Amino acid sequence: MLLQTLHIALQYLKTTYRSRSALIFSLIMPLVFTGVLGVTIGGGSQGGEPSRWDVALVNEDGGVLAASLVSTLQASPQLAVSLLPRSEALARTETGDFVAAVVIPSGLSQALQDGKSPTVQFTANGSQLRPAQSAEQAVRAATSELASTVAAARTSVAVAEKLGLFDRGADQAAYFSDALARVAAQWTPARPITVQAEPVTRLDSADQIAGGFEQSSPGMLVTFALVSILNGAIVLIIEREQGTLRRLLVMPMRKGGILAGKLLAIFAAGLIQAAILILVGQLAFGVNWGQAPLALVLLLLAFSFSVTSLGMLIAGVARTYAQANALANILMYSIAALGGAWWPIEITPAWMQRLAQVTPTYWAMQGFSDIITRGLGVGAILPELAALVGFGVAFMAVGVWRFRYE
Amino acid sequence: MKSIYIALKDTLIRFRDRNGLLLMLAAPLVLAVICGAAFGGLTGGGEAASPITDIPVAVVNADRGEYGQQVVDILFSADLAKLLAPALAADVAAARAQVERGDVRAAVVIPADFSEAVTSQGDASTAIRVFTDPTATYSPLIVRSIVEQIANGFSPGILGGRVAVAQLLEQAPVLGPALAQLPAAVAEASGRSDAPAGIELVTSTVGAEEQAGGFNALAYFAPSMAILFLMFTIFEASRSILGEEREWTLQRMLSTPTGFGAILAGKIGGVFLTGVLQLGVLIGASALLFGLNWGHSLPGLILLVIGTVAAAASLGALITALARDAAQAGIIGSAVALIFAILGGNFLDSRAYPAWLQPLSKLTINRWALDGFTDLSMRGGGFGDVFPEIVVLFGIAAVFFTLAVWRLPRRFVR
Amino acid sequence: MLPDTSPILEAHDLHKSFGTQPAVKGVSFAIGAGEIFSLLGPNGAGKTTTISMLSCLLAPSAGDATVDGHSVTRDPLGVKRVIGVVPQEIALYPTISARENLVFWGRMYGLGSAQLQARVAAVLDVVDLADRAKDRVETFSGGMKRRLNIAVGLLHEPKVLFLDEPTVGIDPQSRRRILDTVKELNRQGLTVLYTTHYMEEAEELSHRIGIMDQGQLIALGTQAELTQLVGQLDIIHLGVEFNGAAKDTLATTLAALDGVQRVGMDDGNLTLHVTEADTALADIIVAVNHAGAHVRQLEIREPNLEAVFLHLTGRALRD
Repeated sequence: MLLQTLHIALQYLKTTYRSRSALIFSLIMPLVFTGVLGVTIGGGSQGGEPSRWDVALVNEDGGVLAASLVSTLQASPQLAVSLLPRSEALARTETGDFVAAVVIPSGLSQALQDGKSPTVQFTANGSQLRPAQSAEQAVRAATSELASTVAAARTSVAVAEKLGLFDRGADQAAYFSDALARVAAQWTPARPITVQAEPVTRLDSADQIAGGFEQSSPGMLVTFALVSILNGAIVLIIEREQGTLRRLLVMPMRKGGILAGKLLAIFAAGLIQAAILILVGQLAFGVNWGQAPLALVLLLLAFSFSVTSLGMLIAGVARTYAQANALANILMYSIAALGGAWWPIEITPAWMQRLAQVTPTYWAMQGFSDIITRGLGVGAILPELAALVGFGVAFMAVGVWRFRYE
Repeated sequence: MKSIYIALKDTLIRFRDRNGLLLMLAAPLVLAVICGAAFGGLTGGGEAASPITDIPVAVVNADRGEYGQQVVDILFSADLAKLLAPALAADVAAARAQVERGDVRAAVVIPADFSEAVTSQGDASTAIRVFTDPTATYSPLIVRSIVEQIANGFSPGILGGRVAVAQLLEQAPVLGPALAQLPAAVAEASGRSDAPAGIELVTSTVGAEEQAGGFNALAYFAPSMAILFLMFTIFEASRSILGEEREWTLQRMLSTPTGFGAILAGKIGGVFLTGVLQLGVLIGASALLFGLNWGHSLPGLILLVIGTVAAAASLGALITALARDAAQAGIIGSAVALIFAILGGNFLDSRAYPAWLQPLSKLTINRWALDGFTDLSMRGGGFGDVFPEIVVLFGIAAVFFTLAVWRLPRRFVR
Repeated sequence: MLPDTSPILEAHDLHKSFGTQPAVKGVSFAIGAGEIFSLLGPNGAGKTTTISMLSCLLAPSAGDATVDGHSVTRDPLGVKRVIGVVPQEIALYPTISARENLVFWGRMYGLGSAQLQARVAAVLDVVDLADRAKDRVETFSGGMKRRLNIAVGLLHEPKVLFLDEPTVGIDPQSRRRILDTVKELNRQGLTVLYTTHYMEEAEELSHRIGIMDQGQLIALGTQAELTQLVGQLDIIHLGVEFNGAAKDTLATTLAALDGVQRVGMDDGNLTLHVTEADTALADIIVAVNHAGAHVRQLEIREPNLEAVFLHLTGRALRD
């Protein structure tokens, strides 16, 4: 019984991996997808480097304060600034070369000195909203720094005024310039309140910050394992239509044994696909997959089980191959996208993040993040394991119950 | 004439297939909604796309003084209510644990000596610590920048005080006895000023449709998914000539007084017609269901549809001409459709691709088609805006079509 | 029984090779107008290749053929206008209706709209499928598909109908129906070229029969003419269980018996040509038993086409 089940499983694996298309779809395609998505999500950053957003900067003010704003922006660890004329900056932002253009209008320096509130224009590229939002906050930090510098100088002037310095013939403008220079000189080395950011992770510092590949490598693993397993499951229906399932049924073994053999093979094919992509992620993209091997293995088993069960569910409810194929294709794309396999789930609206929790892909992605990026172990992924196994049991029960052998 | 009947027959067969229609029409719409919702903005005419909101943040205030509480108040203020969803945490360890588990995207820790540093006249300095979630890309950076802005708000008082003391001590000869008032004046002027002379940041958006008032992700993903599934449909339909050879209907056609050229034209025409109908339905459905605006130039839209379908159908014909059999044509078709989709920006905005990837992206039909369609749907462009894309697409179509009609008949000569 | 008319189809020394592999090696025959002409032979004999050359699907490597005066090599379009082709495959579109199929194929034959409706109705009547015209072909039984497959070939009222193994894989009832339809069409004046590997069909339908084997036409004539080739011999069919007995030895033994002219062997089926069945039978059974085999089944027949085939090739006609 068990041997026959294993034999059926091996037969499936042999036919699957003998074909040349297996190479294209299980290796080359994921490689390309992981690479392109990784470099795009990472905003061009390399693993371990924080993201820097490309921003065009226009300085139409000749004054010293504007110049200081320019240098503050250039020093920002989150921005990669290019100084350009206004028209070019805006045009190239519109075409997407930059996530945003920052325009310092003429008169900014003067207005600040006069105690007025000048404006700086921040023009985002509409199709790069998230990077633009990050860049906007970085620009706000820089403008607030300049505003604070000016305010500090004005504080000094106010104190001097209070003491009646200018009534005694001192030059207020010269005093203000001096104050500005002193504040600026103090600002950099002796900032009174600094902000120290550090990622919370158990990994070594070298691997601390997630590049795009920490998202795209597990994301494509989830996607391609899903594709492999669901496509495998609908083979059950092809076999039913071709009558090979019936031929197996007349052999002296229980129906359950045949189904188990097929499912085992599909499950194993999913694991093989996952293993290939872990190697690809580790070797080609430097993703730290080897952090917690036991947790990783458990998560892979649970994920493959839940998706195999989903395939069984499809095979159980679909009447024809064509129907199963349509259903499987729509489902595999939808739940991969919803579950956060294609982009970081953090960017999606809150209601979608809640909706995502009804997909096994979401739990798998959460678990992979815990392992790869947070450096956690089995203890941390228990909720994910429970969710995946839960999905698996439910799908499998309904699928097997509904499945017709002929 | 007979070519038209062949094309109509193929189109009929394809639109009669209910499960096929699910993949041709339902799948791209469903995915466009998912992707559109993910990147914000579900409706064509509604509010500007929602950026990241409600970032969960844990806040720890170790400071007992007035200024630490001020920081907390700012973080919980109405101004930041949309962006942040803050919650107080008991201590640093608890906050860190929340970040580690992924319950919050960041934790902000206000140090015990914060108020002391703010009021200190000396060189005292302190640090607000921000613990960030390494699995998130955008939100931790946003939190960090916000905390920097708050910190900057406290600095003018401190720095101003220090500088005033330094400057005015130098002016002692001028000031004389008035200098005695210095400490009191500094104390009065210091403290957190409410940034009377801040710099206002005026934000706006370009590269998205004007009427919508912001980026509309659906306007990107509706054409994007339409193009992806158009490619699937077209490559599948293109190889049907090999299927007809297997099912012997091709031979039967050849046994009628119908020339091979007419059959070929009919088969490619059927692929073309199917593609145009599919894109047409998807454009119409997204306009009706989601109120998506497909731009101001109907001729531009029509030519873009025709150009896109012609380019894809020609490539499909070429793949069919070069493949060994129908199965291989199917594999090559799927592979090309997926590779073109990822390079062409059907899954993620190609304009966010790094520079080295751009030329590769522009080798794909998908990219040119998408650039054209989004010129219309996102930027509300006119005919002039999409003209270059139309020219390129027709150029691609001409090249592939020439190669295909040169190679394709050779398959069937015996 | 050759109808007394001039030939409507003539094949002259047709050759076809695929690569270096010859499939048809010099086939010549003529079909008179109003005749049913069958090409009989086992699978792989070259029947389909011959019919494909006659319907201009394959270009002959050498030789030529004319249909109604049009050459298949020089005027294929002229040939295609006068022939109706019913391929061995069910060359129909399964997901559209029978009527939609017929309308499409009618267009391919160049029928105009006015004519088309009438012809579609007419051929649906001929194959008795009018009541299922609106149903998708995929819902049809095998026999119905075969009949619709024939209907397509009749749409443009061809002068010659090519039927390539039109009864493969269907039940006896459906086969009966198709054979009756062919006969009826012929009665109305249609010339038919029919290929089959079923001897009974060729015998029942044909005015004349060409027997093909290994790419060559090895005999041609009416059924009576062909059976005379065998002479006044009786045919004995034996179903034999060998139980490990040596087949070759048995065949040699049998061939040496008095009155036995020929021995054909196809697994457990033995076919013997004998001058007089009554006298030879006893010896034959003794010889079989002596060899350690058993006779399961026994049949004595008049000479038929199968006997002719065996006579000419030394092999049985069966698949």
